Amino acid sequence: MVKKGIRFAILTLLCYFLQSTVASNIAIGNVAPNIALAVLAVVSVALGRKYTFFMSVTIGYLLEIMLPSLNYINLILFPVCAMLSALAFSDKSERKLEEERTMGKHGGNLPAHLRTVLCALVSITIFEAVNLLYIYLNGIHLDGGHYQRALISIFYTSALAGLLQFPIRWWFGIYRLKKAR
Amino acid sequence: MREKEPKPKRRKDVQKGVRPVFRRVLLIAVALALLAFASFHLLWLITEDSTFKKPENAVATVLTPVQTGFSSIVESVVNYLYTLKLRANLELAYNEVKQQNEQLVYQAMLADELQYKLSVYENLYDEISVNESMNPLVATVIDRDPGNYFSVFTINKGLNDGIQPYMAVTMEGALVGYTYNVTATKSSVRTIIDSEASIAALISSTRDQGTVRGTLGVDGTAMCRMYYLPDDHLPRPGDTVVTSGVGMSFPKGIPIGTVRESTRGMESNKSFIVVEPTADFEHIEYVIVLRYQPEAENVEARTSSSDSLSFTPLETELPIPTIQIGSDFYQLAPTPKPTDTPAPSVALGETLPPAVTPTPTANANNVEYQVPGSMETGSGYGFTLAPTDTPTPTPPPLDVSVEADE
Repeated sequence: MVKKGIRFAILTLLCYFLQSTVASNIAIGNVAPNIALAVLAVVSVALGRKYTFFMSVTIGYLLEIMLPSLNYINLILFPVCAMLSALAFSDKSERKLEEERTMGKHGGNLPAHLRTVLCALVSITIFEAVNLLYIYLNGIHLDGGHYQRALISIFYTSALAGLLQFPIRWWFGIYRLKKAR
Repeated sequence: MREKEPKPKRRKDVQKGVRPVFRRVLLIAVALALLAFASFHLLWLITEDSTFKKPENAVATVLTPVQTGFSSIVESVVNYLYTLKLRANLELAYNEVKQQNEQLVYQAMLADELQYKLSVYENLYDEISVNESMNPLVATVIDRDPGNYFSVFTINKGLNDGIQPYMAVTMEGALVGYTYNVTATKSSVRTIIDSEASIAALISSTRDQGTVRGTLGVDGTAMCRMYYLPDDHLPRPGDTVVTSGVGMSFPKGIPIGTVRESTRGMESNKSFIVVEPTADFEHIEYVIVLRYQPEAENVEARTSSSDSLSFTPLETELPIPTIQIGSDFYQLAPTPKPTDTPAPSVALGETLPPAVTPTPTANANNVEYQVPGSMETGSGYGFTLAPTDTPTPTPPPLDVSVEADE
């Protein structure tokens, strides 16, 4: 547990550093991906909502105090986006699965790799939607360029989450755990 | 069967009940800590009280050096990648520039070629416009005999264009050769350096006439020799040799070349001088064919075929000696008395009225080849006229006057 906690802490800091330093350097068409939300989507599926909460609050807090672009927005938006997507795509509990089976539904989880991408898609969509809404409420007319940038960010972040999930899951021993079962 | 003995409780199992509680407490503590940090930040944003900023400052103090190091690492990696990208871009740009350079070089070569053609056409136009009376025609050299003993080439004009055998072919204001073996669409041109070529020529300064023949087949040099020159004149080096218009239907005055040396050589008991051709036989692309046909003078036609030619001797006015029969046979008739000398119609001291100066009439047969002015000056690539003799400065007269002593 301690080892996992240390790894989680390192991943959290690494996620923050990547978001604050690397993201702007891997921009496509001047649109940088949201590495933090991509990693949070991986964590949501691989480790669960609890870790998602800790990581999202930590990253949101660090971004809020180190890169204060807008007051409250990082501190609030990262946990909200991550937790909302985690609610939808993290592993369902045994009780939830039993309930679904009782209701005659499938009663299982979607493949984890697919859920990671979908989780990132939902969280970044919420994030971009809130940003666009904020811009719009500030009196700026939204045009095609805004939507285009938002779409590029959504798909870029989702693709990044699909790529990052493999090394992160491997680092946390998810694949070894599956093999032991 | 022996029953399985229960395994002794391991230490891990003993601690099993303690660990979840510890974990839960730890998690709650971390969560509370995070929430506390967030709350402090929110409180600082709301109240702007520096007390609430202390946790934030502490986190920033710890995080800043780590982030600085991480940022420098990322920056160096990015710079390295950027350098690689820049190098690739430079290579790409270099290749593009190289390709553009090749295209520009090709275009420059094309422009040079067009410029050269333009200058050639300009000279051709000058030459044609000056000698319009000789019915010039521009032709392109389409074939060339690469032989070492004969110098002939083929042009793309023939009988259909009015070309006849033995018409003069010029280039850049100089004689190149003459046409022969003319077909409907093409003609062969034998150059003046060919040993088979023989052209009547004269030296422009002395007007001595001779025959110019090529030496390519004789000694392999692209020169000409001028034979049958009178012995009493010595041509000067640099004298211009032009066509004399005798023989073939050549216009008079087309420059052939210049006298190279005045010493005479001997060949088969025939003396000759060496003439250096003016035309550049190595770079013949376009030539001008002078479709000049000398016209015979009009002869009055016979009025009637019935008119018979009869020889009518004129009356002689020679005195016929009168032979007197019965007298001395050799006694001649007396010499008639001379008549009086007619008086002059004009008195002494008076002058005759000036006769009317005859106006020269235009004679089509007296056409002479004109060298274009641009080529006379030696500009462009035209030939250079023979140098004139350097005038000898006249020495000033010696002052032989003697001043009177005062």
